[in-house]
Amino acid sequence: MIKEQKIKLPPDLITHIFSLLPINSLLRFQCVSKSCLALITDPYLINMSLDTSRERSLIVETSSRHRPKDYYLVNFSDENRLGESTKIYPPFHFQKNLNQTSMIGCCNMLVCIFKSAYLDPYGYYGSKYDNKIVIWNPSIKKNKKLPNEPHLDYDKHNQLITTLGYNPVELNLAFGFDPVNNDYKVLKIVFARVVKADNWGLEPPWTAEIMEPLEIMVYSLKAHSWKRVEDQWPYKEESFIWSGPAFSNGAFYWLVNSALGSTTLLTFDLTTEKFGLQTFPFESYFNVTLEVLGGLLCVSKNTHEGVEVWMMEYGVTSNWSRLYTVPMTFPYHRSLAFSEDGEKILMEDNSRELFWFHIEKKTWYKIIENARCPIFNMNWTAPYVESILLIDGDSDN
Amino acid sequence: MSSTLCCSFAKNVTLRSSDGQTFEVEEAAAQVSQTIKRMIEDGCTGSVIPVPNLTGPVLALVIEYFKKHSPPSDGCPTALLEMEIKDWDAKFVAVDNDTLLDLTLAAHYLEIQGLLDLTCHRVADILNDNSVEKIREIFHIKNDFTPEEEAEERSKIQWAFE
Repeated sequence: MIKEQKIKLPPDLITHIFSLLPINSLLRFQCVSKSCLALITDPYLINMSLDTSRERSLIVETSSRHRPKDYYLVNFSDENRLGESTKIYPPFHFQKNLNQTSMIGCCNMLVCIFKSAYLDPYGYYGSKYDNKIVIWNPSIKKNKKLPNEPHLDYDKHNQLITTLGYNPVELNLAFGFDPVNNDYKVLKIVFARVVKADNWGLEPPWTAEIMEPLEIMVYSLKAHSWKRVEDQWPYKEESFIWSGPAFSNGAFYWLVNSALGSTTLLTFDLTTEKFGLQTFPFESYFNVTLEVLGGLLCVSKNTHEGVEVWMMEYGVTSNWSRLYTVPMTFPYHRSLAFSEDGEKILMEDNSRELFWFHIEKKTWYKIIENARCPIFNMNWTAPYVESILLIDGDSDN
Repeated sequence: MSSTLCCSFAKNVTLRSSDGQTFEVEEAAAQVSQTIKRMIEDGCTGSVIPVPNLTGPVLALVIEYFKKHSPPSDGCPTALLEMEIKDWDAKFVAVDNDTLLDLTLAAHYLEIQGLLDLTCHRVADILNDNSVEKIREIFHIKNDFTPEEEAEERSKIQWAFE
């Protein structure tokens, strides 16, 4: 005879145990009973399980001219070699013409991918508006397709094309997390990118093209709908986005140059859904790129000694401190993550190979690839953590 | 002061389980539990410390754990000792599943972080290594799905079974 379950573990213990399980085992556990199913799909437990850290992975996009894009999850907990790699397959909406797919971003445990209607890496709008955006959890093969956003005014758009002789509309997408409302959001800014012929070649390039927002929309995963952003675009004069978007601490960041030549840090707060402008303390903005390291906003700056990486103090846009300088001899591309002991940085060089860089010693070593699943031609990568978020989403196949 | 003097001797405390069994244990060992440590600091050591969530047999096991994990009197634990404790821990949680769950709960109530990590990892290993059917058996979970419902749930995540 089956005894009733006589020992009930409190929810926080169950979540703790769940957090120790590989995702596959956790999913199988759903089939044990209705209460187990309810437990795993309980939003409270899903949120609780986010606080505990699973093994760290990278999500990797590979591509080459001769092959379609491939996606992998690669464990990098072992600091000498890349661990187990799992090939992942984007949701079925994306499986045809994978090369038109691009990553909008990865925010902890969810990935946002985009497929433009046309083969164009910048995501320019064509005359049809069948772009697809999906929020995706590759570790449980679930996704949520965003509803088609309200369309731009066709006439206005066509008029622009006729006047300019080219299609000026550019899509700028950003994916992030609103910690106050516990909601994932996608920001979409449709710009008209207008070349100022008068300035071409005479002035520094930032005044040669200007970006004028035609439409700003935000999608909320909780509401599963788009809405227009009420806040005004904060630039009165001509302006041009230089770097970004970078997501950190509930906000998006971009570097924007105005026609007057100054660089500002443009922010968009995902909770208030308002833009903000902050002064940017680095002078030589030409050599500066926004990065995110350990969830915090950083800039990497080329100097004659190498690449300096500066980190912004949590939420204080005026306080930056230098974390480390990477010597000139390392072909720096970008910093990805801290090592567990905080002494090393996972870095990508400009031929897209992965290295650990020791902050104190200023030394680096290449991470050996797992022979069973080598990552050829890495095109894009981001730190990723497995979770069961989006368990109520649609199945990928 | 006489009260400070007596602290230099190994002091014992008495713990009483839910079913009234009492156990005497060194105070330093019992302080492996944060809950008991707080009670001692709050001056509840005069009489017996009640541990109402634990039955006698479970409390006896927990006290074994206390003894093994009490801070050594002669300074830092050696690497060898740590290895030995690790082996001992592994054997300690190689128990039947009901006892394992009892110990997990005990570690939770008494705030014994080391034991909690140990038991939770053991439970996770069991969940990871066993089939759905076996998990039901181990944890006495009644399958309340109809065969159709279960088949449907399984089909949704077929890949996780492969």
